[in-house]
Amino acid sequence: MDDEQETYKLWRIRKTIMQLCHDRGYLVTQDELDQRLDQFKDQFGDKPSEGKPARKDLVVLVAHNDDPTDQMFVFFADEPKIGIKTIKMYCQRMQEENISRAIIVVQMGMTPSAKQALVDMAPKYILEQFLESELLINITEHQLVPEHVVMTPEEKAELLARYRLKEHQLPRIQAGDPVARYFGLKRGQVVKIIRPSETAGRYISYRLCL
Amino acid sequence: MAEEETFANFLQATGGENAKQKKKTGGESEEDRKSAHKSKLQKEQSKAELEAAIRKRVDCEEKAFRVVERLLDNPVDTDFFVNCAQYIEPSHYADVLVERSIVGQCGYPVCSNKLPKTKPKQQYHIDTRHNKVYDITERKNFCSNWCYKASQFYKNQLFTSPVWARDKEKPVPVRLLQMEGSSEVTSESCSSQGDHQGSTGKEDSTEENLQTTQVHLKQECTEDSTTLEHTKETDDSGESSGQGAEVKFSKLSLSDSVVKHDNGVGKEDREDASETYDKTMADRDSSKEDILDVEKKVSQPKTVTVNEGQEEENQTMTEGRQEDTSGGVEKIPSGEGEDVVLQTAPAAVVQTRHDTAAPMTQVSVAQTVFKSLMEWRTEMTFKFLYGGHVEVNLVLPEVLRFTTQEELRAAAGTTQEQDASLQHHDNQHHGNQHHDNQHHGNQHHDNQHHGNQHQGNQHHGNQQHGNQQHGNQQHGNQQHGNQHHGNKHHDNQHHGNQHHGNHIHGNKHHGNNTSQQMADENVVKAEHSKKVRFQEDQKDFTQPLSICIPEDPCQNDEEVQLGSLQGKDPKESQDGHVYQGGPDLDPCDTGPATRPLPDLATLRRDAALFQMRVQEFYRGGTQLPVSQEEGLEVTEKRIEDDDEHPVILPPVDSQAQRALQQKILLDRLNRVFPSVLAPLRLSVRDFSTELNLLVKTFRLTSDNIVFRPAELKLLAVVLIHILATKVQVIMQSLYCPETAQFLTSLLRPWRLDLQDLDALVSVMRLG
Repeated sequence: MDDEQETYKLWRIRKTIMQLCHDRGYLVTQDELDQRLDQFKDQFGDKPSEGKPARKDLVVLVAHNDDPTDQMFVFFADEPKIGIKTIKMYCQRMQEENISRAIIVVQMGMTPSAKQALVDMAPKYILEQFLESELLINITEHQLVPEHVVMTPEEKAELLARYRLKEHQLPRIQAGDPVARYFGLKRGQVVKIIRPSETAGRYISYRLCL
Repeated sequence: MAEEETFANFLQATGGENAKQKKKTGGESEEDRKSAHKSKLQKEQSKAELEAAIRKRVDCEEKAFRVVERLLDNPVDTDFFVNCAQYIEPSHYADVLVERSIVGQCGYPVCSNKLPKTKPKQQYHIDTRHNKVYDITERKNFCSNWCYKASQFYKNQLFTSPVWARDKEKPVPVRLLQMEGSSEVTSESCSSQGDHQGSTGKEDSTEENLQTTQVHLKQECTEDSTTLEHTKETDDSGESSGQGAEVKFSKLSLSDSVVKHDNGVGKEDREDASETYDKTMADRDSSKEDILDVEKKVSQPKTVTVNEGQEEENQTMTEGRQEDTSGGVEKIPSGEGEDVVLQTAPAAVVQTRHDTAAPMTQVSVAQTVFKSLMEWRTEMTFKFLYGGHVEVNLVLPEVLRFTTQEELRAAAGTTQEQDASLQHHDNQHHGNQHHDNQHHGNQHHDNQHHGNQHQGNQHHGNQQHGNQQHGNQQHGNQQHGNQHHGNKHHDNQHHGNQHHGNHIHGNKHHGNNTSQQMADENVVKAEHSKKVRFQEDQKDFTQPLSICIPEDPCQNDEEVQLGSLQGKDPKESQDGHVYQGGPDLDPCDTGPATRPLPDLATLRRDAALFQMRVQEFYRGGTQLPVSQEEGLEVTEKRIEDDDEHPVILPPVDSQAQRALQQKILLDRLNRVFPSVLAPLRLSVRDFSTELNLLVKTFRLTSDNIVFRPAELKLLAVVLIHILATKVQVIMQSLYCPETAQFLTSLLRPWRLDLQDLDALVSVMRLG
């Protein structure tokens, strides 16, 4: 693969990641969101094959809007397929920086045991993994994907109280749903989906993450 | 089941800590159950069981995961690796392979090698030789084919059942593919590769690498030692299986040592050889009295070592003896021909042999074979069997010679008296030098006359010088001997005495012109030159005796040369058209004219030699003694250094006879071989070439190729043993314990054992 294509790909991925972080409520500057390809090249270089940029240079650290201590790492893995060792390495880094959330962007995938390792870390360190191919475009911008809004625990409680519902009476959404992954939904969180409607103008539904 | 699955998923998602919490809640639910409804109680109970089962599953999965994690770190202990098998599934193992290769280690956990830095990018490997396409995605994870093989071997033994369901299954120990045989090579290459990479790429785990390589080396060492032990064991078994083999070894070493000696100490050597032969004979059955007799004779071998300088005296001596014993001289040309060893048998020994001749007539099978082998073997045989570089010492112990003598005598169908008469006959026909060479003289006169005529015709006005030259040429006596003999005769004429005078005078009668002198020279030359003389004599009796031209399988160069002369020279001298020699012969007239006349002793010696040659010619099937030939050549050289190589023509008749005899022998052997070879798991094809070559080297006569079936069978066995030195396959099959059994059973009817067989085989052995 030639460098131009690779650079373009990396730029797209990083842009999507920035949008993702922004959508999740992390603090991302507008410059970073609007970064053009030439700017990306200026910042990181345009020869990925020679390690300019290497994927590990693209690493992102963002802080949450509401709670600056709530930070999130975005790791880009150099290996096509990552194993437990790499996961361990990232965990060590998170431990050093006292960060509990991270996103790992992998080229090809993960070994099953690496996935198992992610699960094992779960309560303390929350690690999410995305394939590069999943991040080439921002799925939430797609025409057929309605607007998703993650509700805070307070909003969720208000919702349940308002409609006198129990949790299990809500419609559900899988944790593995692409959009749920995009927002990093955890079990028990509720997402508000706003669809346009011909009759009502817009139609709002709520879904509970499993 | 669906519920279980979801629950398991949930447990997995929440992880280990959650599982512990669940345990607590499980305990609470048990307390609740006591106060709860009875139906609810049952429900709770089942739920608790379910929960326990699920938790167990999760634990098992977790353990498998831990095992996989552990297998990623070098070094992996072999025992641990083997024990791991009951905790993981094939999928886990596949995961291990991938994980390890990601880190850059060989996928096989026990292997501590690094993967090559540059991984192949393609997914498939196309084998152009076999026209196959291989998916190498899995193979890419390993450092070597062996590791891949071993890994597959391990993986195939893993249980496919889920890890949590293995309680009731009996754990089956897993075996690891051991590095053996050819795989050792790969392992070595592996380790070297590993070392190399360890030195180049400094990683965090350098220490680990070192340790593991040490372990690796240790393993290899132990393997080596085990293989060594193994070979030792096999060796032991081999030795114990056949005593014959052991004996063979010792003999070989002995014979080797014997061969290493020079001919200068040939006497000692021979004693050594006879001693070794003694030993072998002593091993035999003492019941065979003839052999005992023979042993006695071995104790008194008479050997004479002749060096070049002493040749003349010794030759006369041996010739004298030869006359006494009438062909008792057994001379075999040595490899180089410089040092010549003569062995003479005293008449007393011959006498005792005659005594033992009676038991020899009712010979056993073994003895017949033994005798034949003794007769057959030649220098060529040893060269063939042990390579050309070996300096062969073919002088036989007395025992062996005895048998050959007997056989020869039997073949000739004569006694000593007959020999004597033969000798007499020879003398009459060929003109012995002890008698006056009148006969020769006449012959030469003819030749000379012929030559002179030609001279006269062709070179009328030639000077004496030129005539002399042409006289030499036309006379056809192209041999160098002519020249110096001519010179000698020149002197003779001046002196005008000595017994040669007869011829000179006779010649003079025929002589007409100025070239007469030269012609005379030629005549006398012919008389003095052994070859020419021989040729003349041959011419004399070639016609009547052409039928009994011996089939002499072992003719050496000198003999061939003589044979060619026999055929050629009379014709030349008569036709006068064949010019051999040419201007090279010129030096004869420029040569010194002051050479002394050959004395009587020399002539006598020549005559004796010639007589012996004739005898041997009549008897057939003997080797001409090289020593005397060369002795003569040496004397010739002393007179004239200008030496020429005579034309060598193959004697057609004897070759044809030989071929026929070889064919007969091979045919008979081939008839017997199948019955012998089948139990040895051999086929004639394995060694037919070698057998043919071996038989070609044999000195066969019409008498020693006749065998009874039993003898043929034994002979076949012996030949197989002899050929074992040349053919590896035979060697292998001979060292089988079954072979020894078979041979023992085969030999039993003839009341022989393996040692006897070995003694027979040793005939064809060096030393």
